[in-house]
Formats: sequence, C-alpha cells, structure tokens
Amino acid sequence: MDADERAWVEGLRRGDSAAFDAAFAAYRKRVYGYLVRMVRRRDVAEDLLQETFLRLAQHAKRLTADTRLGAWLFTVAHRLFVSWVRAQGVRAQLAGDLPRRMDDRSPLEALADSQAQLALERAFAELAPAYREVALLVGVEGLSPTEVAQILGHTPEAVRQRLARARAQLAGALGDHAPTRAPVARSKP
Amino acid sequence: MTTDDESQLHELSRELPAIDLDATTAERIALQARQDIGKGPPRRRWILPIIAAIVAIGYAVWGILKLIELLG
Repeated sequence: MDADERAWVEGLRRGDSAAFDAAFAAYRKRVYGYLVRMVRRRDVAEDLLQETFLRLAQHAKRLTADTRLGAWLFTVAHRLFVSWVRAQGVRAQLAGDLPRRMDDRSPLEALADSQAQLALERAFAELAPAYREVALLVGVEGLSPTEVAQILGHTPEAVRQRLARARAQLAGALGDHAPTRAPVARSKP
Repeated sequence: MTTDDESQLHELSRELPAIDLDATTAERIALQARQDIGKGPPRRRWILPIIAAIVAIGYAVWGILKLIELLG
C-alpha cells in the first residue's frame, strides 16, 4: 500500500471529503473501466460505479487503517456486478449485447482507434464473464492473482487457471490482430 | 512472482482503449457520494433482517412454550 493510499484511508476514516475526492479521482476510471467491460453497458456501469463509491462513503469511518482501497473498491464493484447479473438473468442479455458484425460497433468499441484495438476489445467481450473478469483485473488493473482471488472469493489457483484459459482464448481470438510488441524486459534485482 | 500468463495479459491489455466517464457524470457521482461520507449504510437495509429475526425468535419462543406445555 503506497503512502497516498494510506493517507486517503486515514482521511476517509476521519470523514474527510478531500480524501474521498482524491480516492475517487484515483480509482473512478479504473473501476468504471472494469464495470463497463463487464456489464457492456455504459448506463449500468455508471449506476454501479455510483453505488460502489456511495458504499465507500457510507463505510468510510469503518475502514481499517490497513485497508487496500483498490481491492476494497473492486470487491464491492464485483459484488454489485454479480447482483446485477442475478437481477437481470443476464446470460442471454450479455450474449445479445455482443456485436455480430465487424461494422456493428458497440459504444465501447467506438473508442477503439485501430483495427487491433477493435479486435482486442471484441476478444475481451467474447470471453466468458468469469474469464473476462480475471483477465481485466490482472491484465488491465495489474492486480495479483492472490488479490483477485480475495476479491472474487476464489482460491489463487482457480484464478491462475482462469487466467491461463483467458489468455489462451484471447490469443486464439486475436490471431493476426495480436499486438506485436516485444516482450517487456524485466529488470534484474 | 509474475507468470507468463500475467505478463502476456499485461502486454495485450496495454492496447485496450482508455474508458472514462464524462466530467459531468463523474462530478454528479462524486457529489452524491460525498454527501454520505461517514453516514453508514441506510437504515432501511436493516429493517427486513430485523423483522425476520423478530418472527424467527417469536416462532422459536412459541415452539418452546408449546413443548413445555406438552411435557408439563
């Protein structure tokens, strides 16, 4: 946990609205990105984002000093997503939301400014929600499988298995559209 | 420890376009949430569990009294 996050948690515990604003600014884009790619609808993602931060505000004074804000917010967002899926009987709806033709762009895909980005957005969208969620939390948000396991209430091993399947399905779906950057060089300790 | 799957997903995900709220919506959400800082969950959330608990306890007490009546 970095110093900023610790300070925000301390501020939230005191009911400091500046700390809330800082946490909102730091996490809103990340949580919204996760939600919009899970529910595939901006209006619903906005509602769930609002509920996520409403709960942060309501629970502010009950946070513990060592609360990891990112994990806390993604846990709430995940639970809200699950509730939404249950409420909607959503499996059919999610399938129905997926675009069928290359020229039929969803609002989410309209953000893509290249064929590669479009293909990638679609490849993520076509993953089963359980795999997509893990791929987003690990791949996009940079959380570790252990953190994701805590958020989702699974074992780290189950998360790693989903991660491997998600990665394989993405690679299969992308084919020639897969980004061709050189692997990231890892610095030696 | 970073596995190959993690690093490949990180690599892929870099290409995803950024998604954000428009500024007006973000401000509206922040404003509404800010008003609730430290207020705790809404009380209506507790009403149903309390009613359920009262009914369950009442039923249990009634059952115990009936049992005592039968045994006595």
